[in-house]
Amino acid sequence: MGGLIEITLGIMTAVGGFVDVSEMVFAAQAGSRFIFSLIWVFAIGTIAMGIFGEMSGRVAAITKQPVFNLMRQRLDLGPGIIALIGSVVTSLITCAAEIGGTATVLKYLTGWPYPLLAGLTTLALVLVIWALPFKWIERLFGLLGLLMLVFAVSTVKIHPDWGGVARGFIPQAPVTLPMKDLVTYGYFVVAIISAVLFPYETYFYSSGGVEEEWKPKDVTVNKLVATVGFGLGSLLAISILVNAAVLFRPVHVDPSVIGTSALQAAIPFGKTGLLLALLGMVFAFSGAAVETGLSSAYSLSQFLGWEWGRLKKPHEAPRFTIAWVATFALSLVIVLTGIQPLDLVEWAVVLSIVVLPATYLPLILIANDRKYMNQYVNGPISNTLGWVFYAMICVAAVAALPLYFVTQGGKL
Amino acid sequence: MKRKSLLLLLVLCAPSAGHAGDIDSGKLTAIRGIRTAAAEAALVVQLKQQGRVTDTYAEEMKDDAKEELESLRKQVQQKNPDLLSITQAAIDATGASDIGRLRAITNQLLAMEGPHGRAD
Repeated sequence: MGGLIEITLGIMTAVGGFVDVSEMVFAAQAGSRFIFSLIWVFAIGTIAMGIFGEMSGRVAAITKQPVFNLMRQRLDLGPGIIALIGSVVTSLITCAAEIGGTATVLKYLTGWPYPLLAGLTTLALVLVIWALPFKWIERLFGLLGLLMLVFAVSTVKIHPDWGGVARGFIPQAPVTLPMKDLVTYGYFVVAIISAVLFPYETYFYSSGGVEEEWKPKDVTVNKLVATVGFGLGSLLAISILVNAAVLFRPVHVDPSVIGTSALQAAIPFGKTGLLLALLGMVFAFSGAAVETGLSSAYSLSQFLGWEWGRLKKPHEAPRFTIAWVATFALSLVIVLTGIQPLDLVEWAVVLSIVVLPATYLPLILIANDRKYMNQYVNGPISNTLGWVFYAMICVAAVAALPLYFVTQGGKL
Repeated sequence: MKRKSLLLLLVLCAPSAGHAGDIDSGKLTAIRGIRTAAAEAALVVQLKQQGRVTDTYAEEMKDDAKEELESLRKQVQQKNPDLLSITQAAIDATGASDIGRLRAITNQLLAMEGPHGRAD
């Protein structure tokens, strides 16, 4: 029974923590601009996330090592340092985007000034991380993030063309579009893959596995959480895309501010729907801010061999503690410069996809290595899919920057 | 290999170069930005009148739309001055919560956009 509760909580946490500011922005814009034709990218990205998430959790349970430790062992120093810098920079920018996103949504709830809310948000997050044990940090934001389910309920309520939605799961390229729009479509494909596969999610998930002292017996729970939890979370992102196609496209809205997505719940459910959506966004974005802030510190500490972990008291892992507090402080500085959260999201998404190949290569290599994994080595399906998705990530990484510049961040 | 790279470069440059008689990329981006901000403002005002959103939310969203439009106005002032008057009209209509005017501006901009981005 205890195991069942553990699995249920794990899955619910994964669902509630799946959608962050970048997924919300790109899902809504994708639906509004390209109707259902980008659903398949969320589906494929989520399968990839399930495969890599499961792999990183299994490696953490068997080797007791998170991803960045493995990166240090498997990559030469040069590529390792490049991966470290890339990961820290993208985590920092993403953390700033999530804090900015949270403050923006709080502004819609309270009407208070944005800089004040950004400061209060950062302070609250630092205090929560300082005070709560790891498992409760994860659950607090994951479970309250479930308020985002109001978007999925809205989808049912607005009666979309379910046949069209189903066809969206089939990989496609709308070749009838003018060339400019086809290239923008390509940018959205890359951006969604990046948003779903953000590297911080793997760093956080595998570091969490080590923090919670997963053992070989936890491999099954890990598999369920990574596949079912991420899969259901992805359905939430897809529901935001579908709602945007049905509710925003006919009135010619391509969401350009974060708060627009909340209208997807306000249109069918009025003020109650709006408040649930806004609160869900606050917890989902701030949960992602916690994950990115800690991921940055995890990456640095693990690569440089420092003591790390939220289970340790701050004075037992001082450099780790300084690293995550500094990440939040720097993120706040970035937010207070006045850069729009949506711009930060775009930079984070483009930089992340460039870092992804270096994140996942050592992971696949270790998960395939019997010397580390014994009987828990990758099976043929996991291995084949892992390499196929790895190739997909590499192609996306090469295409990301040219597509970003040519399409002006998807605005073309 | 060189030929393939050249082909890829040509494909990627095609949108920037545009076709004869086609709208240029910078202007298209500006038109889309103004159109969506005006359309968002119209939707928010409509939902506020129907009592479906809170006053605070509606005011903050309108402020965001105006801010976005102000920033686009600075942009078009330098690069596409022919869009200046419609941008200013969108700012004024947002401030006045004039749904009819905002919808008319949206439709006018959609006509200027042409067939782009409508993946029906």
